Amino acid sequence: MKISNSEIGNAAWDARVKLTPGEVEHLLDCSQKILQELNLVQKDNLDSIKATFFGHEQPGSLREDIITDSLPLAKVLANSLYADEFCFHVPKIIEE
Amino acid sequence: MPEMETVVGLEVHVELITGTKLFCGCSTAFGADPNTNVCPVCLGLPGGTLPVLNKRAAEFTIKAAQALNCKISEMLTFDRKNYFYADLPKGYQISQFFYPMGTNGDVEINIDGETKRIGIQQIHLEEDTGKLLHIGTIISSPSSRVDFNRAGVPLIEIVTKPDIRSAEEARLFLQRLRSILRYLEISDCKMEEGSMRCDANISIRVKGGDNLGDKTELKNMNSFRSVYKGIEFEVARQKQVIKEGGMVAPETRHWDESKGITKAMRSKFVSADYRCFPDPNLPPLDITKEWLETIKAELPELPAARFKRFLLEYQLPVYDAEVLTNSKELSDFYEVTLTYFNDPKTVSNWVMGELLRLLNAASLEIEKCNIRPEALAKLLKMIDKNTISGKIAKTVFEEMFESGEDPEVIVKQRGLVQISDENALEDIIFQVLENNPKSVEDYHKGKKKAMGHLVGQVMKETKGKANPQKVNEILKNKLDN
Amino acid sequence: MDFYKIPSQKLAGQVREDPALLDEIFAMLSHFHNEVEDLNIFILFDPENIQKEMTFLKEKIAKGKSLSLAGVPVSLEDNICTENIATTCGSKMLSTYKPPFNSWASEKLQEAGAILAGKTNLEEFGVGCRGNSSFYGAAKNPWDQQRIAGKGAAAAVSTLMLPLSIATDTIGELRQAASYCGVIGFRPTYGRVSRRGVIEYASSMAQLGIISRKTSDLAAALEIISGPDPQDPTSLKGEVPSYRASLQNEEKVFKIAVPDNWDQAPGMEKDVKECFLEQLHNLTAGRVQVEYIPLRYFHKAYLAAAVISAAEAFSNLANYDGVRFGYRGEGKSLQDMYIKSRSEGFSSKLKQFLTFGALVSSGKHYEDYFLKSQRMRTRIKNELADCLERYDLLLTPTTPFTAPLAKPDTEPDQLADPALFYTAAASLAGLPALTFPLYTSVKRPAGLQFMGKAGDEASLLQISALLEERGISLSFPNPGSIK
Repeated sequence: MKISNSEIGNAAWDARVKLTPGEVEHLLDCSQKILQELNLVQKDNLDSIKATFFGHEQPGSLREDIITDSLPLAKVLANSLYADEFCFHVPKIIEE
Repeated sequence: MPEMETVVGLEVHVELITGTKLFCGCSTAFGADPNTNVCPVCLGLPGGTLPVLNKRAAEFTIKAAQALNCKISEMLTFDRKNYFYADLPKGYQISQFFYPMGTNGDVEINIDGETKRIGIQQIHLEEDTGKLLHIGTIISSPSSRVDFNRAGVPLIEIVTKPDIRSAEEARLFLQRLRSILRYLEISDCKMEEGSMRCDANISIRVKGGDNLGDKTELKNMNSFRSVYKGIEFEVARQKQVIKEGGMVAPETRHWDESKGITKAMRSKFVSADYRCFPDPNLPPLDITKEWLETIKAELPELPAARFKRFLLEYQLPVYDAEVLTNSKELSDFYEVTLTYFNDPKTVSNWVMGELLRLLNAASLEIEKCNIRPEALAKLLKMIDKNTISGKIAKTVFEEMFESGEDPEVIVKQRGLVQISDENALEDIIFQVLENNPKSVEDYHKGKKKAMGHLVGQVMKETKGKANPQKVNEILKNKLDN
Repeated sequence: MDFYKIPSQKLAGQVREDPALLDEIFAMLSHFHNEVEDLNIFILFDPENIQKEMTFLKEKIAKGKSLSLAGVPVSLEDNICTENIATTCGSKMLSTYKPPFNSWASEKLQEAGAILAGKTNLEEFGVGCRGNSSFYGAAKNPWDQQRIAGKGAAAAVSTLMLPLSIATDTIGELRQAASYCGVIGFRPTYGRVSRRGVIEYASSMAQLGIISRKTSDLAAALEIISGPDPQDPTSLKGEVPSYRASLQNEEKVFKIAVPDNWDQAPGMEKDVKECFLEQLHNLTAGRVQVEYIPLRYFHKAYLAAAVISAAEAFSNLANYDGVRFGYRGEGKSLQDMYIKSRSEGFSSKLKQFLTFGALVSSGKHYEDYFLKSQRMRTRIKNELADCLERYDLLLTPTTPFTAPLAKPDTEPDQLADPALFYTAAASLAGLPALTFPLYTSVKRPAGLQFMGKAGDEASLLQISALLEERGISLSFPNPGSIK
């Protein structure tokens, strides 16, 4: 499968970053190479085996439903330059 | 034109009533100041995003899946749904994409005297998002404000199969679903407060055949009524489009309650590539048979079963059984009352009549009502023993509803005990006959209606306390002799 | 006093005896810091904070607390959260971020009496090891300032300034940097050390690791920062072994496997190859047996790791939206603001990496890139597990080459960097791994990488101690002559 310039463009948009044409070019080249390399592994019939998505096989854990302290409001807002006394601000969103 | 039919599938989001959020210990309490129920996890702060699953939320979801007759997944897993939006702190929502908690279930509804099954495609657990607020009006506001108190609150999403054929079926399904979830005590399901939300996928097709256009997704229906009205409107609109030879466009539409119409929405919800993949921070957990059995053992009797039992055990009419069992609290109230006063139909009449009337008028939930089942039973016993009349009982009931006072106390204090003493009644009746010669004459001329007038006069004299049966007896006796 | 010669535990004993030593340690740190300033090791070195910590420590000692690392200066990489202390991840994006909480590791070290000596420089968000993406410039290699250190954490230990530093290892960055700087680099089993408070970019692989010059220091620090943490859902349950005690085992015989195609890495340096072979020869004596074995997937690990780490990073770094923290660009609309904030706040290299992550996890490529890589991961994991059932350890070079020359920011990287050719497999499989320093004929360090069974950190510490004992001793660059 070939990768196109526009696919790189879409991926950049989906990652919400802007790339220069040179960066797109380079990325296209790298992505293509990796895909080719991966294709060489095809013959080993990988489709039949389970994917590993986790760092180990220990099962997940559960927590009791007990309330713990939330952050004080001042700390919640401390790292934002765009906030009033309670809320974060974002550019106006008009839905519908 | 061939006969057309409506095809509707619902996606219902329900907030669970756990104490804490899905993946952190922040409170889920409603109505707190903005951004006061947040922590590094639910705010998505750098280095603070490790999620630890709330056991109760998982169990609530399993409960719901069991109650909806779903096949339960063997593994409890979570995936990330990636997209950017201002109300989504981490840039992804943790949800169950690959292995929903339950699949392939159903819910029964009763429509036109018949039972119909609505298929449940899946039920899964996920996080809620934050909330956007505006300064002033949307138009004048320079920016939007974000409150993350709701971010991370556990939600279950229930997706039906496209089995719904009308707005009425959609409404009945939602009501039944709410009823089930409230029986399970896992959500308060208040559409007006947003703890239950419903989107509808709507399309039109030739009966039993292929779709005549794409489906539209209808959003922003904030009450049972608006679900009904929104779907009705959208179905009519689609039929019109088809009738005019057009095609229904696949789009998301917004129900405008004030105008009573649906409108196409702008781009936010354009189908995106969410790049779902298993959340590496949340390794799978086995859902063991033992765990499922423990949870199942805690399931209460559900509305459908209770409905059937009420028909059989109490011989109630279908309508009574339906209304009573629709609410767990109401049917609990009913059954407790029966333990004190075992006359199912009479109790049903009072609960469905007087009690519901007063509750509705006061927009009160039954849990917050002043009247307890014991008190209602006491009142009914007083009628049964002829201590008070049925009519007086209604007045007493209203006062009980207001003050929560014991019915015996009310009756005593206000001297409402029924007059059944024949001597006392005869005296009063004698007076009434004296004072109403015209009615007596009319009666003798054959106008039987005059009797009613005379009874009314006796009741007036006794402030309604006379035993009506006795009054009738004595009057008749006097007039006829 | 030459503090750097004293094992950490002994130093801690002395400090407990005589807290006034802390003043000398402070003077030493200040002196060293001046000496190594050109190396750009630290993003934050705050003498005031060090003194504050020392005052606090003196109080604790006075109260008679048992503090196994009392007064031992330890640095944290600048992607490990420290409450109210800037934690930048080497990125413009977080240049003003002060976390309102501590990481597990910083808490544990503080409880043990360690002194936070500073926050070390790293590649932006800890991604890779090429010295070209930190907003604060690259950390330089103490052996040759024209070359990269890979991580400030490795350089700090290499200069003798610190006995220990804590840093992240995702696809092998910590081991690569340690190898480039000629120090011991250790990555524990996945889940051994809590990731709470660690700003990591690929959650299924990221682990906190330790850099040191002495095995005993490493074992002491590992005991402190290991352990089950109920707030990390991937944290390993069960008791942490006594790593210091495991070093007492001097009878153990090591069966070591080496992949027969170990020298197939792209860009393999001749010196590294020769040096590795020589060490292989030297190793095979007494308690150590070495055998070649065939591995089918090991040499593809770096491809899978490149794909998986990028896909996870795309998601892990999606919280940088300019709203609650971090750099914010001006935009008229919400989406415009996202693009500006992220495009101006992230380096070119990171932007490309995240885009690659979005590409390989997209609907169209999920199967051929992402899922396939995760399936290869299963193969790699099984292959390593099989091998480690028959052998105690698996041995390879740590990197195919010695520390690369620093290159201009503009020069693009390979996304599947050959630098992770050897380190990626342990990351994918969640195995513990250790790099032990070697010296090539070109007088630059390289490393021997050992990989162990999941949960068996002890064998790695034991082999490290054995090599130390055999006197493959290190002559470190003299800080006085660095300039």
